[in-house]
Amino acid sequence: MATVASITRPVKSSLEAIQDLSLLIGRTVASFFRPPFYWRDVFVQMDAIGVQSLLIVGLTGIFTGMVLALQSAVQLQQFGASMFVGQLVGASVVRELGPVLTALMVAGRVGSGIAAELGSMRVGEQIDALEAMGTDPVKKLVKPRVLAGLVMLPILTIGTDFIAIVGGNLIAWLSLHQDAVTYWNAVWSGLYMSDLFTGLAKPLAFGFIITIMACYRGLNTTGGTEGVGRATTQAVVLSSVLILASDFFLTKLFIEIFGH
Amino acid sequence: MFGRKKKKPKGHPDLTPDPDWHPRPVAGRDRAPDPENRMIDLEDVHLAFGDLVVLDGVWLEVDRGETLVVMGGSGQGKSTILKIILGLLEPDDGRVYVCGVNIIHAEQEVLDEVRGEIGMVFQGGALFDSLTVGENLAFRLREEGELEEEEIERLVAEKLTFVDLEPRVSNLMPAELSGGMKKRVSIARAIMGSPNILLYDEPTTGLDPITSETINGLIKKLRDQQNVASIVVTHDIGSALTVGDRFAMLKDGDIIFEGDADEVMETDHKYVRTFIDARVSGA
Ligand SMILES: Nc1ncnc2c1ncn2[C@@H]1O[C@H](COP(=O)(O)OP(=O)(O)O)[C@@H](O)[C@H]1O
Ligand SMILES: [Mg+2]
Repeated sequence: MATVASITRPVKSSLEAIQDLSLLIGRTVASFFRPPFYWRDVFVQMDAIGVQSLLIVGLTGIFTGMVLALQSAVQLQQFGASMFVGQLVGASVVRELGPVLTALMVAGRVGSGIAAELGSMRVGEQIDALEAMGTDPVKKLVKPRVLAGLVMLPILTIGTDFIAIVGGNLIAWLSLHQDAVTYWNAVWSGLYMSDLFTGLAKPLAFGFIITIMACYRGLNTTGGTEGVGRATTQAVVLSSVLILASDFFLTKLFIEIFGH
Repeated sequence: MFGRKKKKPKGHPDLTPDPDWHPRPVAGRDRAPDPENRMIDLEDVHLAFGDLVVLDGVWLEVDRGETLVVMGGSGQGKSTILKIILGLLEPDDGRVYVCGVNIIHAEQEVLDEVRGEIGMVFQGGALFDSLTVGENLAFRLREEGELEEEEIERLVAEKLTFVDLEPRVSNLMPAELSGGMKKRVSIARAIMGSPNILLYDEPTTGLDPITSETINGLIKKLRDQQNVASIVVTHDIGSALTVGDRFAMLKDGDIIFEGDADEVMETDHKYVRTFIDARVSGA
């Protein structure tokens, strides 16, 4: 009996965790359609998630674009095809690297912040206090953060994409002496209309993943101050893995739909 | 949304007692219970976290104008009882009546209504870190959105005065307060909506004796002036004897002793004796 219990317990608890998470997702999505809306909290979160991430997102973008251009310049030069640098940089950034790297950076910065904040509110019984005063923590805390994530991730991703392409331009000019018109024409010709859609659909999904996972882990923190540390780490790890996994499946789905 | 109506009359406003509710006489008293005065009834409450059985058939009752002290060692489930009364935790079995309404499986609106009757003083204060003291106090009333801002401001000042804090405290952040001030602010926040029930989770734990005495004084003042029903969870026997009208000892998921102050002091129940003697002799 004891052995059976010790085998089934971890399985049961991860099933319970999935159940709890699904419940939170359901309640959050339902709350989008129901008052009250805490607009002030939404703006505060948009600032925390978006505005305050600009610097790291900019740095991520510029270096990613530069390294991509550098690598592809070396390869393409061998075939005398260096005019395609822009095409390569543009397509990889808009389709994959922009959304994924932005999301990973934001997961590290914002996901950990949200998990730590809600975790210490949980441990300090502030979540209980909210509920005891008749305020729904999902509406007051989760909804504004998820909404802000949904709005800000696409915007940040557009920023990363642009800066990365500019970074590529810089390298194309410095190492290949390519002029900006050639480069940007190549960028443009490498993109499909559908990239605009997929390049924004992905960050929408990632924005949701980051904020909901961080809220989930934060709200379910146990074990005092140490627990807050665990919640923070787990929120980042879980959302990073989920970002990479869902990126694969979304890409697969978009290829099915658009054929490229 | 589902806020309370304007000034609520005393009694059980908006809450219709459950027809299945039959309040029991308080343990050790032969006086018949008065449903109008009975504020809290726990009947045969069971709760386990996984394999850990925390409450194993707890019965408690509290009338208006009286303070029940729940004593017990750490981890015995004292805070759990308070959270069950607030509907923050749902027991596995049993009935929990607040103002005669069974809150188990109650609709959200009913639960909100019931919570409007309860003020809770959490152990660490549980003040919202990101809000000032004044915003903390005003939080519930602003959420309900039924009172004018001026009226809310007036109430904030009134409640701060009640707990002996100066009005300027209103602009401080919780992080700037001492432990004793946090407790007082927390009490002020709990009484903002003039609740009929007050729950205190270890209100004097970690405070110096002078500050503890102030807090004890507030608990008594609220009982005597506002006629509230209170539950004080504590393992500070000195504080317990100062504020309590009745005493319950929680151990291994059960109320193993219940009685008034004299009965506590005279009991020869071995566990209760150890608890009292250890504390009275100043451990
Ligand atoms: N949400 C929870 N999940 C699992 N165990 C819990 C939870 N809340 C409390 N417990 C456990 O239940 C027991 C009683 O807790 P509590 O009511 O806080 O005790 P105390 O009498 O010290 O206030 C403790 O052993 C605690 O670890
Ligand atoms: Mg406790």
